[in-house]
Amino acid sequence: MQSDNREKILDVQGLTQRFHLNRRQVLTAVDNVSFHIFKGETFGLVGESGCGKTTTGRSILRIYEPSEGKVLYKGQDVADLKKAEMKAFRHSAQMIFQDPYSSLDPRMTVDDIISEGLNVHFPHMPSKDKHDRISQLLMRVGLNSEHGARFPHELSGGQRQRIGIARALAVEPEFIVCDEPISALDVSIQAQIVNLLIKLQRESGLTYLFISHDLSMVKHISDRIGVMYLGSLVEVSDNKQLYTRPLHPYTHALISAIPIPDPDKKSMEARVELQGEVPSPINMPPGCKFAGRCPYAMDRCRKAEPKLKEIEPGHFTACYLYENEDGSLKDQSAVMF
Amino acid sequence: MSDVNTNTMATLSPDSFKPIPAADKSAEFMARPKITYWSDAWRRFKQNKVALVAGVMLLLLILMVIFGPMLSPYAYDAINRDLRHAPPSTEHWFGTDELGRDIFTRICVGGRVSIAIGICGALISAIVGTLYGAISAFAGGAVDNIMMRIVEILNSVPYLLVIILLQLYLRERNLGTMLIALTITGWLGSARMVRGQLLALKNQDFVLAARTLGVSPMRIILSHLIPNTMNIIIIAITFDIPGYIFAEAFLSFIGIGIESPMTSWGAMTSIAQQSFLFYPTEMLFPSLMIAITMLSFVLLGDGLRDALDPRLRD
Amino acid sequence: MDSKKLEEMQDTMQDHTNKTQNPGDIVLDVQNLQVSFHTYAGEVKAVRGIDFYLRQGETLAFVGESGCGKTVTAKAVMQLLKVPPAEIKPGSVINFAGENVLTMDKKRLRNYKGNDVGMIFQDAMTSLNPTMTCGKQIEESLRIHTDLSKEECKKQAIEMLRLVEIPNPEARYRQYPHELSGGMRQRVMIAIALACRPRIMIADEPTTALDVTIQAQIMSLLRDLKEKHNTAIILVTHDLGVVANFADRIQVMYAGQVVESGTTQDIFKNPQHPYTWALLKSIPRVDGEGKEDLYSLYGTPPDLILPLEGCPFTDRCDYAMQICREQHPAKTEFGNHHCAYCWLHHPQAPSLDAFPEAQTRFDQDFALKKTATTGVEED
Repeated sequence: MQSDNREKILDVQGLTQRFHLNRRQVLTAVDNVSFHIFKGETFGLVGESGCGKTTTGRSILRIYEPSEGKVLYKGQDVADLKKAEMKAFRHSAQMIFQDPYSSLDPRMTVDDIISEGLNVHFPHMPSKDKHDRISQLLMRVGLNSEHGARFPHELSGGQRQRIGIARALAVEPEFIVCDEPISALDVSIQAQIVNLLIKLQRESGLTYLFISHDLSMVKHISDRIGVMYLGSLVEVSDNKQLYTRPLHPYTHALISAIPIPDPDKKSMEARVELQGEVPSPINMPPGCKFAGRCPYAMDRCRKAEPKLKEIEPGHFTACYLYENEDGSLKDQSAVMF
Repeated sequence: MSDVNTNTMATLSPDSFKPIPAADKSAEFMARPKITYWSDAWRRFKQNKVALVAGVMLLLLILMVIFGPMLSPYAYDAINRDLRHAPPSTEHWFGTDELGRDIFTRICVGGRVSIAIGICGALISAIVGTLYGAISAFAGGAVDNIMMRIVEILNSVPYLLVIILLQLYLRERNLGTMLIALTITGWLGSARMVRGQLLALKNQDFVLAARTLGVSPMRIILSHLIPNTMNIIIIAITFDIPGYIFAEAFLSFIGIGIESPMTSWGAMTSIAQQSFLFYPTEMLFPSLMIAITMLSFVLLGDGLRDALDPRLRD
Repeated sequence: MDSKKLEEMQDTMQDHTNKTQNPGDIVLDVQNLQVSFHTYAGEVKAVRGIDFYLRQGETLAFVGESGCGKTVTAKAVMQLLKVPPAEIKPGSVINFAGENVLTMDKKRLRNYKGNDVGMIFQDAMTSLNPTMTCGKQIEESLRIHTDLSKEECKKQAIEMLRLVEIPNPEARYRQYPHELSGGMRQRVMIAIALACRPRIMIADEPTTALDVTIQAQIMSLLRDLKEKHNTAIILVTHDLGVVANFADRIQVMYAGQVVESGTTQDIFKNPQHPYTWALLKSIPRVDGEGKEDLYSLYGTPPDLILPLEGCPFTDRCDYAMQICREQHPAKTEFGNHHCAYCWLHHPQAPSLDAFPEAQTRFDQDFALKKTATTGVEED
């Protein structure tokens, strides 16, 4: 990968997010996660519900204060921003939400919803310009100014999600956290939203952090993908390698759980059906978090958590299957998987 | 469209099979007329006939207490010793009281006091409660904790005792002091309710969206949180009004309410009570007014709750 | 648990309910089903005259976007629609094993729901009673529909939990729904729906709210159960990808109408309606190369408050013609119960080459059958 000479727009270093439920119970939603996103690319963050992907996205946008670790946006720590810098950050980094029903204020018209950001960041914009800007934004997301006077409850799920996108785009951001923007929608509408996001990226050079639980949709939008399990990043790879050669057993299981839309192919070869469900992230035992469900779990997996290591160029995974007891990497051909 | 069902094998004009250009398609057509939240609520409210009747009833009552004294030739405090305890007649519609004062005029004037205390009391406690609850919910953490403990402590003091002590302490007893006495603990309920509602709203995605857009906390409260709590506040006000009317009536009835010659419905029943067995109409009219007003507000509140609560939206 | 005794118990249950299960029997026959909702804005015609049948042991999938009437159809079959505002229009026919469902009396209907037809909902959390243990909820339906004693009910309930592969069923029997994970709750729902061994099971988006790995588990459980018990299944879903390896037949619905129906093979390998093409093309594939473009349907399905005189798909269709706006297309049959409603099959219609504006050249992937095997039939 030509990675190193590209500009990193976001660099997450050892991000940890804990929530104190009560005096005794601590929920570690995000556990020492590090990754970076290059300018103009889409980084997909995938995992099942409760794996901390949404929390990661919110910590990056400083909706939560991280318990440990740093989020560097354009080289600056988001937690240290002063008031004016914070405003500039809010101007530059935006979010698209999962639920198109609760993410729009039911008492506001579509015009009001979209102009909210304009009012903050362009307070002196004449109302005519603002109006033009809004109808232009509506056009960009495939709607028209007729929808501007409507209320969210009059629109369909796909239409609402596009309003959410228009709201984020209104302040002309460079970086957007897309927090499961498609999981509440029909498959056909999911494709619509994904294609719209790709189109907008091509037009304005946006950078996305695309959070999803569905590996199949992520494939169509992401350049690089990170797989999360119970707060830890278990695999990071570029798009093609992840699907052709998943390294972590969990990624493998996620991919093989995707239904194949072909009645002749009963299932993919070497289908791994995971037993059980994601355990509770409260008071986790030591070791690899996936060990309890992993078909390849060894004694070693239950003792200490494996670290993310580069197995192939640009392809990282945190799994003992690929390393010897002393921490050195195994010969690739020796790994049976 | 008569040939809809005979379209199959019949030869159709070749023009029919011309492709429609993409620009002519309207895949985002909005079929239904635009409807705002409030007009939708009004539509649902209209369906509830009982609430509608209650609303009209209240309107008539309020018009009566405002304009009634102007229609009547008697002043509310004009004493006529020759015509004491007169039964209802064309001269005095509701009769006269022990001092020969016209009961109709007194009911109107007393109604002004009763309804004013009801509405003002409910409004004041809603405003104070909303502000308190909003600050508590939005500040969160320790501030929220302390503020809610204060509410709990105040709530545990018997409110009647507070009012009686206050009324005795203030000596002068008019509309203003009555309002102070009644609202001093009256806002506690709305503060808790607003806080609960705001805590739920605070974590809604649209509030998070406003935060990521950099909208200031004050603007979030004003443009998102308050409008979305408005329905609940309106419902609470409507249900609070009869409570205040009754509280005022009760205080006046036990003699620590409004002072003569000024009157209220409660004060009138209190006086009439002494001669109740001989002149029942003197008691009947003011108590009837209290009953009708309270019932109307409760029924109206029911209708408003059905119309405004988004959970009942169809 | 003694398996022999259980078999006996199940036999008595079967005798009691007098169920005959000959494969190939038509258990459900729906004709010209029309359902409307009366709202303040007017009449919303949610289902506009659909026909389908279901054989014993067969799986039929209703596929379409939200608001296409698939759930309303399922609820109409189950008689779960609230009347008013809903109304099943006169002329609609729903026959269960030869018996008219629409004229059943209250007592028969109560028996029909649960005993003859079971239903699984999308959201297991809101469909389960939070104040009752899982075991009790399974028992409840057994007690209503069978003569089993209290003890037998309990045994049967635990056996049902085991059947849906819930680990440690004796312990789960005593747990409340909120103590279980999403996947477990969905399993409990399946156990309740199956408790009385219904002949038909209606599954309304059973996996939509679940994670992918759990989704795969639930689908394979459903597949096992239907093979074991020869239950007929109606699967309602928006995702064609889910049904490829599951359904025997598929019915593609749009705006309250069936636009294409046929066997799973026919729908996937030989689809004949542009909407089916669009649905098939918009399913993301993982077995391709890297980041690639996905076909997407544009726009939004029409509001069902509209009369929709022509083809409802016209405004979103790449192959829309003037006639599509004006007249509803007739049914074209292609044999083997495969049929579609589209003007492209009319003898006068042009070939797909006549639509240069089309986003994706479907003609490269799908062959349009112009000459129907059994001829064009009257609507």
